[in-house]
Amino acid sequence: VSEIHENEELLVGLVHGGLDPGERARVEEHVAGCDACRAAVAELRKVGEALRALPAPASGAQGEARLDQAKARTYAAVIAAMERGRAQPIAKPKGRSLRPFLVLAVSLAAGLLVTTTIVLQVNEEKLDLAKSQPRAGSPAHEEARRLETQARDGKDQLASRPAAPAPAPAPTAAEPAAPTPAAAPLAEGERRNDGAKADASGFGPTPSAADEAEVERTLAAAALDKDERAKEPGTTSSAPGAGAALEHVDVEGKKNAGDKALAYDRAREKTVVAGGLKPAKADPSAGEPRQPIDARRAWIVRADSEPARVLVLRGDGTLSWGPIPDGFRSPIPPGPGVSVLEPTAITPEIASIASGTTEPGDYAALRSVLLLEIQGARKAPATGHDVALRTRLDALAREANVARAKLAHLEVERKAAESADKAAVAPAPAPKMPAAVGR
Amino acid sequence: VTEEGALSAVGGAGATSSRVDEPSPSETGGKQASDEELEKAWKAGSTPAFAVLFERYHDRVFRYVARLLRDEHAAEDVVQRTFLNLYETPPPGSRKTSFKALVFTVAQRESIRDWRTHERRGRREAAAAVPESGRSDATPASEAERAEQLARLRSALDELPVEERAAVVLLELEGLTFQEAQEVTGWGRDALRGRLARALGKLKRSIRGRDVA
Repeated sequence: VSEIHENEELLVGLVHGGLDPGERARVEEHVAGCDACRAAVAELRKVGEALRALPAPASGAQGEARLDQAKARTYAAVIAAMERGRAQPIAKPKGRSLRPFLVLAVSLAAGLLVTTTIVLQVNEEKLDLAKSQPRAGSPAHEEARRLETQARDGKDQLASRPAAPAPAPAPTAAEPAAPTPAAAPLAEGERRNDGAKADASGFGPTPSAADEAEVERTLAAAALDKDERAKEPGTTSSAPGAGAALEHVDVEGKKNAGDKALAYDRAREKTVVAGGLKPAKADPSAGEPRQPIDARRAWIVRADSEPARVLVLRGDGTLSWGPIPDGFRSPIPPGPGVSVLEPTAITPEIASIASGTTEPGDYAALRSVLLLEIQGARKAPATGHDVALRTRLDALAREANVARAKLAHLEVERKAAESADKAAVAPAPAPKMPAAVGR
Repeated sequence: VTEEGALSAVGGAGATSSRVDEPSPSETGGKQASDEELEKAWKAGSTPAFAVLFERYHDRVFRYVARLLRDEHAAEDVVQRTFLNLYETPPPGSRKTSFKALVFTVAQRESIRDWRTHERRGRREAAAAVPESGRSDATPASEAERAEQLARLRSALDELPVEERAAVVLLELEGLTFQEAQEVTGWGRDALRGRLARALGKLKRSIRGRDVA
C-alpha cells in the first residue's frame, strides 16, 4: 500500500492509462480506499484541465493568420517536391534500392537535355536571344543563357558534371525567385531535408544531391523556358504555354506529323526566331482570333439562390471576383455548383466581368468559392458511391491547397520583384548616419 | 488559496480547452475518410489523399511543435521538414502504428533535433505572453489571480526539460493515448510515466505558487 501511496508515477499511470492490467487493478483498489491518493488523482486531472486552459500557440486572429501562412509555405514546399517528382508517393518494398528510379530519372533528364541542346544548336545561327528569350535578368533568362552557352561549347552536361557544388536550381513556379525572409523557411526546409532523407529513407542508397539537382535544374529550365516564351510580346496564341501552341504551328506544307525530325525543321526555327510563338493558321470560320488572357484559372460559381459569379486567378497572382449578368453565355453551368475553367477556356468576357480585382494575396474569395464547391459536392445527389464523393472532396482539398500555396508564392515573388525594382531605382545610398541620430 | 482552489480556478468550468479535436463525422457529412484509407490511397499514388492528411494534421503538429520548441518560426521549419520527410519517404505499409502516431513521431524527432541544435547555440526564445482570457463570470480579483496562475503555469511548462514537456503536451494537450505517446517518443513505459510524473509535479507546484525547482 505504501508503495502506491508514495509513488506518484503509479497514479500518473492510472490517470493516463500507463499501467498494465494487474498493476491497474491493484492501484485502483488502493485509490478507492485512500482519501489522500484519491485527492492526488483529482489534482492530477485538474492540472490537465489547467494546461488545456492555456491558450494554444498560433491562436487568435493574428495567430491563425500566421498559421495559415505557415501552412501555405509548408504546402508549397510539398507541392514543389511533388512537381519535381523527387519521390513518388508510391509504396516501395522495404529494402529495395532507389537506383533503378535514379537511373530512369537521369535517363529522362539526359534525353531532355539532348533535346534542348539540339534545339539550341539548330537555332544557334538565327536565334536572337535578345528578342526571343525571357526577360533579361529573370531566372528563366539566366537558365536559358547557361544552356545556350553549354550548347555552343558542345558540353555534355551529364558527362562533364562539375566537381564543385552545383549552383542553386532555377526557381520554379512554386519556388520564390529570391531568398526573401518569407521564403527562407522553404528553401531552408528543402535544403535540410536533403540531408535528413539519407538517414530517414530506409529504402537503400539515396540519390546524391548533385544528381537530383542536375535533374531538377534541367527540368526546371525546360519548363521555365517554355513558360517564359509564351509570355513574350508578339505571342498571339491564347494557349497557356509554348508546348501546347507549338503543336499548332504550320510547318509550311510539311504535314508528315509522324516524322519527328520535322519538329526541328526550318519552319519551326523561324517560329522560334519570330519571338516565341506563331499562331495556328487562321481559320476563317473561327471569327476574330481570341486575345491573350493573362489568367491561370477561373471558377464559375452558381449557388442555390444567388447569381452566378466568376473568380479569376490572374497571372500576376491577383484574384478577380464578380457577378455574371443574366443572359451571359456559356460556360456557366446550368445548375448549382462550381466549374473550373482552364486558361484556354477563359474567354475575354469572363475575364472582363471579373475586373473588380481584390488585393493580391487575399484568399477570402478563393476560400468562399472552394467552400461553396465543397458544400455543393456534399449536397450533390447521392450517386451511391461514397468513394466517388470522397475522391471529389479530396481533389477539392488539394485544389485549395495548391491554389493557396501558389498564391502565397506569387505574393512572395511579387514582393521580391517590388523590392528589386525599388532597389534598382533607389538613389545611391546616403552616407551612414551616426548611430545616435539613426535611432 | 488552497491547492484545490488554485487548480479549480485555472481549470474549472468555463475554461477554454486548447485541445485540437478532429472534426466529427457529422461535421463532415459522415463522409470523412479515415486516416488509414487516406494513407492507403496516398501510397497507391493519390496526392490528394496526402493533401487531405496534410490538412488534417498540419495545425495540430504545428501547435505541438510550437509548444515543444516555444518558437513558431522554428516550428514552421520543423513542420515543413516533417511533411517533406513523410511525403518523400512513405512509411512502410507493414507498420502497426497509426498515421497520427507516425506524423507526431516524425515531428518529435525533428523537434528534438532542432532543439538540440539551437540549444547548443544558446538560443532560447522567450515564451509568448499569455493572452487575456475570455472568462466573463469571474470577479476582477479572481480574474487577476487566475491570470497570474496561468502565467505561472505557462512559465513552468516552458521551463520543463524538452522531454518532460513532450510528455505533457502529447498526453495532456494533444490527447494521444499512452501507447501512442510511447510510439511517438520511443520511450519505454516507465520512462514516459516517470517523465510525465515529474513534469506534472512541477506544474502542480507552479499553480500553487511554489518554486518549481
